[in-house]
Amino acid sequence: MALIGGMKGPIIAAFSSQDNTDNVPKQMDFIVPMKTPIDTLVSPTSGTYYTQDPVYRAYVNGIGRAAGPLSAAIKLGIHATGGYYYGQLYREYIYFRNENASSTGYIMQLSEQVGDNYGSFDSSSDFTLTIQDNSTAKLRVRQDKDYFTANQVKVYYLGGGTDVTFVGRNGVSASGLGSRSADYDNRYYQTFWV
Amino acid sequence: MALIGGNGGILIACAESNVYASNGGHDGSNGGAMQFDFYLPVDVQDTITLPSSTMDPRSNYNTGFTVHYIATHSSGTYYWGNNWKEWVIMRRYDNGSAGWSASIAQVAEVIHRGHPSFNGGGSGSGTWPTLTLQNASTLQIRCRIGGDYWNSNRIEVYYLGGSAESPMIGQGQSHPDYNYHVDTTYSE
Repeated sequence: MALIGGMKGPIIAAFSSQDNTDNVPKQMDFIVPMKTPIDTLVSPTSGTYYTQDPVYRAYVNGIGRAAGPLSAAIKLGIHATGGYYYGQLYREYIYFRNENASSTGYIMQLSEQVGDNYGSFDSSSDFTLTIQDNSTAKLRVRQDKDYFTANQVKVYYLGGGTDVTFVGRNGVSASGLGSRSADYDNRYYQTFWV
Repeated sequence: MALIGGNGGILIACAESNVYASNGGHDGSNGGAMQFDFYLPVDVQDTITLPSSTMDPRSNYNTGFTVHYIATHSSGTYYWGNNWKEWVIMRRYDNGSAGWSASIAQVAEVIHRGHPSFNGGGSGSGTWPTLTLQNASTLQIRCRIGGDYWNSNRIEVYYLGGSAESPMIGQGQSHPDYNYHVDTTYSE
């Protein structure tokens, strides 16, 4: 059953180094949705000063930019666990892209919770999250080693990004695999600049 | 395509202010604060069947009481940087004369000042965006993003979770399969 999963909290990436008997670092790359245009965001095409409309501007030059947004942010949650020197921790991260840092991007930690850790479990260095290729929004999870630290990692999508459904004014039905139309309700519209 | 959107990624408002709106239809001069309003979903949770027995703890449940967990991502391009804030917005009804009441609280933030003057400068939290309550009965929220030059000039408002218009999957659900089927006939 995936009832809750059917709505929220998909796992973007998961890996285990349980069988990494060489006791060497292990890493995994994955790509997050930060560059795809939001096709449910449609530009206004008429009305007074519509080219200054915030939704119009967002469509032309912001999050709805057809060639891909130049800046975006995504929230990820990472749960890492260890089974020998046992322990677990959960961290939330924000990955930013900005056109002024197009070659780098940056990742910031939002929060951390540490679980029931054995004394020798290293909760500070059991994994790292870095940007492997900002141009493709490719991230890298890297573990120190198997055995003494965490050896299973799951990465959850928690919000943000670009491959999302826009439900505000000028929003249209989503399309494509896994899409689900949010009921658009014009009571929840967004105003012009006020 | 909205693959992530199909799994809960919801964008409820967005804006970009790189072009100064010279028509006077907003508050602020060039470089001043710009603002727009958006509305949060406060419709009844129609997947809940309220019991007829007053002994049931779900009786008298008011579906209009809602909490909304949202995030804002604002970014600037001149004095550049990025800012992520998370907010909790709660709404209740006062049985006295006050009627609907709502509160807005910021619960988390991370900021990266690529330029030291981005979003208020310094090392503290970002000056923008701000969210203020315009109308509790409709949960109309006003978002100010600062000017289009020194601060943020793009913003996205994401819905992260909460109770309004969310499907009930526990006891009392009226149609638990509501909007949940993924049809594999449709593929890309």
